[in-house]
Amino acid sequence: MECKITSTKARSLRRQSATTLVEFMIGVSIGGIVLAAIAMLTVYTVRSFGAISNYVDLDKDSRFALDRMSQMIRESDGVISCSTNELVVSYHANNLTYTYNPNTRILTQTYTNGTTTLLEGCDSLTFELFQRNPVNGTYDQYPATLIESAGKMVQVTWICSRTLVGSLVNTESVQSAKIVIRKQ
Amino acid sequence: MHLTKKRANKISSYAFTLMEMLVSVAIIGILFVSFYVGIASGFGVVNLARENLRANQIALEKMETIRLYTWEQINSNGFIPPTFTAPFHPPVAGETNNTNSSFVYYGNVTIENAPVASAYSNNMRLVTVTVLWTNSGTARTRSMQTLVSEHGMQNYIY
Repeated sequence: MECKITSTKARSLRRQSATTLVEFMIGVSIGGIVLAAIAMLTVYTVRSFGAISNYVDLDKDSRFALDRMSQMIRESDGVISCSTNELVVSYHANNLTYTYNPNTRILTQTYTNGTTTLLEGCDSLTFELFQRNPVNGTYDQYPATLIESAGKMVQVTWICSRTLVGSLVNTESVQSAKIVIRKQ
Repeated sequence: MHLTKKRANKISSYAFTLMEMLVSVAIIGILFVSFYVGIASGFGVVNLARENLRANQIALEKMETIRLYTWEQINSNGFIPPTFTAPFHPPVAGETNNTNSSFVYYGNVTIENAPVASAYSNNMRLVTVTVLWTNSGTARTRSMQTLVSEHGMQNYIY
């Protein structure tokens, strides 16, 4: 009698501790689904935070560059030369030059104290020069293409971008400003 | 009989009940949704900051050009258009892959008598530039004001 009881207990314990193939496969499937969901969420989170960080960084850099350019161009004495990629103004009797290099994608400012990089990762940047007389019924001015020294207003437009995880996420920032030279 | 009861107790202590599973699934679900909502909210805040920045740029552009008008043009009805539109993503020379969604800002410019209680108030005007747009179904607006004076405007055009 005692032997029979012992035998029954041992058999039932063995059945509890083991897993069948079906149980194992279901467990693996559920585990796989959970892991896949966690992996997707992690990738999505990393990419999202990266994109948000890129946008904030781009806006910060662009705002700084625009503030600095606006301040100095407004205060300049007049335009010396202007092309699509380069603007030279007279600033306190010295040349102040803004140069955009499409190969290095960098905008630099050159003055007597040296060259400073204002923008990096700049895909496109354009300087345009306008005269002082406005066009009737619009907010536009006549372009100063023939006599650059007659330039009163500078328009600058640029687009900067950053990539994240190769080229999967591309964040862009477009800035545009019209700057009127006060002394001209 | 005694042994059977003991075994049954052992089994129940190892397994999860349906209620436990439901609670854990609900907690995990709430966590996932919270993550997603948090990130989406972060994108929304950054997007609104970018739109604000662009709206300020547009208003500032109009304010800058106000300096180029004469006193007569400021007071001439229709010389300065009362309304304007501007894209969020302005056209950039050399840009080949402009895939950004570009909505339009609507703006208006009002020129009124200056709210100055003084003898020279007739020689001044109050210029207000207002920019309006919609963000996620919510109407947004930014505005800038400046005072211009007759003898502070440029007085020649060539």
